[in-house]
Amino acid sequence: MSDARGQTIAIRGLGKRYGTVEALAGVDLDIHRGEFVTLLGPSGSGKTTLLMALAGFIRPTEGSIAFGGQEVVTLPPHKRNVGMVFQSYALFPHMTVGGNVAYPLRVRRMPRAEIGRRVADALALVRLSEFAERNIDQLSGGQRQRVALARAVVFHPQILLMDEPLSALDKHLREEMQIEIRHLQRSLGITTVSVTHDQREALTMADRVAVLNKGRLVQIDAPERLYGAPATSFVAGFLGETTLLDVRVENGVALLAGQALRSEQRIAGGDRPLHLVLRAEKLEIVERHDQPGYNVIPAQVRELVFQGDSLLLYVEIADGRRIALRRPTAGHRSQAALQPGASIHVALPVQETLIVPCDRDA
Amino acid sequence: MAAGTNIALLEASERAERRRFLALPMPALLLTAVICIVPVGILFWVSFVGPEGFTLENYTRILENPGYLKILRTTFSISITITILAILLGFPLAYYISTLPDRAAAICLGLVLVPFWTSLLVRTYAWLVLLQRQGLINDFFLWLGVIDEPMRLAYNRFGTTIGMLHIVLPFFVLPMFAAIKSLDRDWLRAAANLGASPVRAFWTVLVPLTIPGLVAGALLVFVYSLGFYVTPEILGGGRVTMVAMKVQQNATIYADWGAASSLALILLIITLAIFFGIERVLRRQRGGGN
Repeated sequence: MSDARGQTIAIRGLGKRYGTVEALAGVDLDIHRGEFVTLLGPSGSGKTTLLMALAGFIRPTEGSIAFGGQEVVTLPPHKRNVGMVFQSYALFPHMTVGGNVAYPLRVRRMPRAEIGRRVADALALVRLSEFAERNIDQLSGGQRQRVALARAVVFHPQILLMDEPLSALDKHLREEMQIEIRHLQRSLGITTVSVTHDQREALTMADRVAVLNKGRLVQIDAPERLYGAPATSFVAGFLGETTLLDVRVENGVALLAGQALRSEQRIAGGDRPLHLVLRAEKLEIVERHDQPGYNVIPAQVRELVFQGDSLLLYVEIADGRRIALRRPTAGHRSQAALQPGASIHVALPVQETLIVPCDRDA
Repeated sequence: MAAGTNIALLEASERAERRRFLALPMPALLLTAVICIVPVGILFWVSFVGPEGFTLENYTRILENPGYLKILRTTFSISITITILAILLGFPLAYYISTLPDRAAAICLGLVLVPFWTSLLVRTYAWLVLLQRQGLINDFFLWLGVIDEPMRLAYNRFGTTIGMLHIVLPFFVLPMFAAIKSLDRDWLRAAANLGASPVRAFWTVLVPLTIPGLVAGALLVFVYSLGFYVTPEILGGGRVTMVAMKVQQNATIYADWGAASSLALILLIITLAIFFGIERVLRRQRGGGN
């Protein structure tokens, strides 16, 4: 089914103001055919506003949205021909599962036989063939999710939008559905934009993740790049378990509490405040203060938390700032040596030493 | 401790709690009993008792006298007309208000409620000022030259219907507004997203999902309309006689309490029958799904 399904989406200079509040500002975004892009950001970042503008439920103040080269910014929602999975699923309670999935086809006045065939196909796609006659209130959360998905793709739209599609499911089911949606999206080849505030969900499902903050697009990249090379401190702090420490730059060398940091990155000087990115799982504990290939920071253990698969440590560096770091539980011969008050050497591999411009509020 | 400990004690404490909750509505229940059930019981009694003891005379007279049947027919046809008009006017209004921002919606609901704060008599006379031969509406259209002589707007069924509709409309708009407001807005968005035009979404999603509110509002309006007295008396100009007016005539002019009671009871019974009939249909629909 991966024929010409899937249109490009081109967003140019999109902005939405509510009074003096800018919900979206100057968003430029190109999404390829069949690509899965996830909009990631905290609440109020504008990610939902952007999705609603794509669906046509919010009229932007300025800018352009084109599907497959066609301008759609003034097109009402019922003429956009995009599928959407709502956060609440929005399944019609007065119709059966089959009735819900048939709705977009009935609205398009398709012949009965065709409707029957397509509904059966769509329900088979989400493995709910036996459920056509059920009422919505007889379904579990995961089943409702799949009905919503079937209803959103049954009319073969070229674009699929999903608003926090998995937020109502429990953790186990959520992870299962992430993979299932991913497979479905790939096999249909449908261009997909989803919204989430769950970084793990974004990294798991998307080809590219677009990070939004305060109505602006901060960075869009493949998950590995986004995690490995965050553009700003906001992106770095939003993904992963991260401590951000501001550093000074003198003669092109970053200084943390007076200590020079080695890095493979070229450090841009200037007046912009810079942050050192410390990922909890990338930090190691070493014996020697001059471990080759590492930046070694002396610190004192403040808190030690046993979390089953790992140990979480809060340590304090020389100038009193705190860093979170995570070690595997296995080989915790040294756990005794990590009790609060113990002096240790925290080591950050030189190739993982990231210094990014600061774009967060103080 | 063994299983079965404290069972009797816990059951007693649950019974005591239920009794305490029953005590809360007791004053209201007693009041209703005294001011509603007792008088209706007396009416019932009076309608079956003539000078020579038990009689069905009051009821046979209503069934045999075409005048009474005509009054019943007028009462129901006016009430049905008003209910339909209230739905046609009130549904779009309630829907529109539900789409407004909270502040604007509060103001609009306030305006809908304004008629409640003025006396029924005042409102009815206000309509007379507007509708009568030398009223504002006739004067305006004469001045425009649209008409050559005044239209007969008051002292007939037309005027009665308008006056009553104005009074009952809030009873429809309020439950309808509540029903629409409680809808998940995503349902309408989903309908639009799936390709339904606004008109189609209205009929296939909004209406089916707000039927309970619509029926509640329509029943309120209908039942309230059946009992109207002042408005048809003033705006009907003697040409419109509704059951309540005949009841009043029988009781105060002819001092025939038996006739008045039987008429009131017939109205009550027909109203209750309609009420339970609709309730039943609704329950069956909901039970059957789809």
